[in-house]
Amino acid sequence: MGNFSKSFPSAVQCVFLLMIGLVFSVCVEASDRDRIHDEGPPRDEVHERLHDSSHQQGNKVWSWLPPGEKVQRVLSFRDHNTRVVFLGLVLLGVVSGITGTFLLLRKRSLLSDSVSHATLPGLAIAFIIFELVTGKGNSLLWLLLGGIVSGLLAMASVIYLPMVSKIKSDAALALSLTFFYGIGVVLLSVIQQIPTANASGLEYFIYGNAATLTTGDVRLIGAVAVVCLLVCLFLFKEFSLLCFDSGYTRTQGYSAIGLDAGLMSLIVLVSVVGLQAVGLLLIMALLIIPAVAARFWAKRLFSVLLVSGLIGGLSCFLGVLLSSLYPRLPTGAIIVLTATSFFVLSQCFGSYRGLAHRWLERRKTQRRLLMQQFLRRIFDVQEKHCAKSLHLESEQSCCEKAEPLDIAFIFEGRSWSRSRFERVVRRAARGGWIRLIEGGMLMLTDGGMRLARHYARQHRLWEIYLIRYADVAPSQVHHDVERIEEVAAPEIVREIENLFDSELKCRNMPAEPHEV
Amino acid sequence: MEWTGIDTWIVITAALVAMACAIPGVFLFLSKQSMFGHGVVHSVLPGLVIAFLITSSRDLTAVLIGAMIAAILTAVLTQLVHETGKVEEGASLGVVFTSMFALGILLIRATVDTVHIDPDCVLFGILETSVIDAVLFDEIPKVAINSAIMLVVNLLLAALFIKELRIATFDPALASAMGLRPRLVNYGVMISTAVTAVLAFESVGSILVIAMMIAPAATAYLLTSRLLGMLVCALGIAVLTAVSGHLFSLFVPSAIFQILPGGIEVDSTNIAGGMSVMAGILFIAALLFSPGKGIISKYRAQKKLGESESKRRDHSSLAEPAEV
Repeated sequence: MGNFSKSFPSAVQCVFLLMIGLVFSVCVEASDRDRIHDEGPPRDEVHERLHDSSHQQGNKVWSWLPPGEKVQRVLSFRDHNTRVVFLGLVLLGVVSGITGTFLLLRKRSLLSDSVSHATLPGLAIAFIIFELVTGKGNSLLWLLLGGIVSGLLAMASVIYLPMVSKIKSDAALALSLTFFYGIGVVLLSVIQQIPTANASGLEYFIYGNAATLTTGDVRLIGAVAVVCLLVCLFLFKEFSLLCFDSGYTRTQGYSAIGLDAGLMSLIVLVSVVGLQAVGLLLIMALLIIPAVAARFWAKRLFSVLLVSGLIGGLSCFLGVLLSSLYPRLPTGAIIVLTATSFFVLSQCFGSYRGLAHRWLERRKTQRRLLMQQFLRRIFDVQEKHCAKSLHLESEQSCCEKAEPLDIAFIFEGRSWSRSRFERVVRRAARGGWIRLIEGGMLMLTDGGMRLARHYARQHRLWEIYLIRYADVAPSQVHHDVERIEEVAAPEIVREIENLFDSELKCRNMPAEPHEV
Repeated sequence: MEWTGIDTWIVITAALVAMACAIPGVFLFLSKQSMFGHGVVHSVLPGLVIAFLITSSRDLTAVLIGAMIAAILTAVLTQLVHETGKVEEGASLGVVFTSMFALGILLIRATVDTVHIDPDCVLFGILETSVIDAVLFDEIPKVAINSAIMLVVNLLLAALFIKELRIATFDPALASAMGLRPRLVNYGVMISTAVTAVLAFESVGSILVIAMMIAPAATAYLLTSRLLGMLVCALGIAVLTAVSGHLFSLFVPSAIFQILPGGIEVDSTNIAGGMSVMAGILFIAALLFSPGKGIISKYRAQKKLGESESKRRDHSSLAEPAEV
């Protein structure tokens, strides 16, 4: 364990470094290919060019399946634009999946919503200033900067408000969202009144279209991805500490507020860049859904980060694939719904917290408990039976030889239903604990005898403990015990064994402390 | 930039909408579900589109039924994800409403692309244009009547179920012990939120709806500590917001841009936006100056306490010389 925990950070760093290397190489490759292809076509033509083959065969309305050559064309990434859109969105999906996980762990998932709405006034102010100064407002970099500044302000207000007042964080989110967005809406209507202004750049910023990414967008996303992954790499330990125990972070000498601000700035960065590339809805969904889905698959933070990045990237990939095969479908919505289906799958079949997994676990526990109950019952009956036949009163628990017992008699006196009882009998027979004998009788096997003895012993120890020390009325014990037994760790059982040495009569077996 | 009859109607409509929104808003705020208003404005979209597809008209009842079903679905799904998946409530709302909004956009694009249910339309207020559509006596706008009906219905509902709402909001455990079904009450609040939101954002745009769901309630919360007081206060603040917001959008931006260099001539600006800004400003004012809960009064009280404490300490140190 010690070795593992020592080697863990380096393993983390290796994987992160690998990912960063991948991002770099992919970006470099993208820009290399750009040189061969010159500039990509203007945004509006992208869609048509990508899907012109479908228009030629557009008469077949009934055909839901896209033509094979088109699938091939999209999958081979022969088109420059297909490549760009795939690359940009998958990168964005991975990065927002990873940063979104931290957001989820800080219990601030909806912050992405507020922040991305709150970028609007910053964008508008940047636009107005540069419209006035240079006469050309929609310069990407300045707009981004404005958006980041107002996003940071909104984030700060959301975090600060619950600290200084009794306003809860959910209300703070909604308040800052409406206030900032309101300012943005007012400023937009101001911009519309500037006669020289061309506000179409701003529209793109807010409702950005995922299907029309340019190589510039992809480079920007790549840069943000590298920054985010590097920061996550170097501050992985600190961030995980912050997410799980911010008080402890402070005692370890880290500035919790500084770390928090750093983490949230990453989120703002991803939100703003994603916003201008793919729009409000999609970036919000990408920051929330993959992270939530990943929590159903993994327990350790690092694995959650990996799974979340994977789900983000994969849903973007599949979403773009679908929407380029069916050009009528809006890319952003398709990606969100793909991510949602991943989420639903994860919630149902996730290997850590998924519903199916939990259901199976519960069933396993139930079966185990039922089997315990059944074997204990056999043991009790057999004990009584044996004692009666030997006319032993005091030394009853020494009688431990398996003999045939009446199934009907075992069934009586307990609150199990007949079908359940029959099932457990069958299972016990299959497991080799009991042997069924002709004439409705059963008999414990040697292994079954040992197991039944073990269960009965454990059970009785608990009962004695409860009667002696917990002031539980003996008549009540039985019901309580069934539950407590589940809680009992082996150390506690051992402890009780030592405590009640005096009760242990025959070979570590105490007598049944109350009437069955 | 003169005050005309239309301006009066704009303010009246906005005030009615704001009051109608503030009532469910108070209960959302108190039960820590403030973001639900924002979520539901987005997640009703598939409900609206499906209602439109079934009836193939913008029939109000169909739209409302669609919105109600979508809102209930949002609430139920959010609860389901939260409980069965142990997902934090905010995150589960985020998952549900983004997914439903995406579904709505997909449905629009896949089916009714020719007709205009524009997602942009849902996000921006068109208060200015919707008021012109008059019906009664050629003077009273339709949206004002709609909002008034909405307000009356919300007031009646709040008055009828005030006991249930109070207990379910403040102590859900007690409510379920009393047989009041707090979850049912909560769903009721959510349905009323959704219906109000749908009716309102048709006339004033969703940004104002979201602002009015939260800001008056939060402001009122800082000013009083009783439920009834908070409701009344929120209604008053809603009216104040509507009036001051309109004045803001008429005069403030144009004044600011006159002072600034660059010579941008700005006429009146987006009214819904101006109102949500004013809602925020009123909240900030309450946050700073509220007697009792405001930052300044808290700071003063702390300072006073500190002074009296140090005085007391001075006195006691004079009375009993310090032991060395």
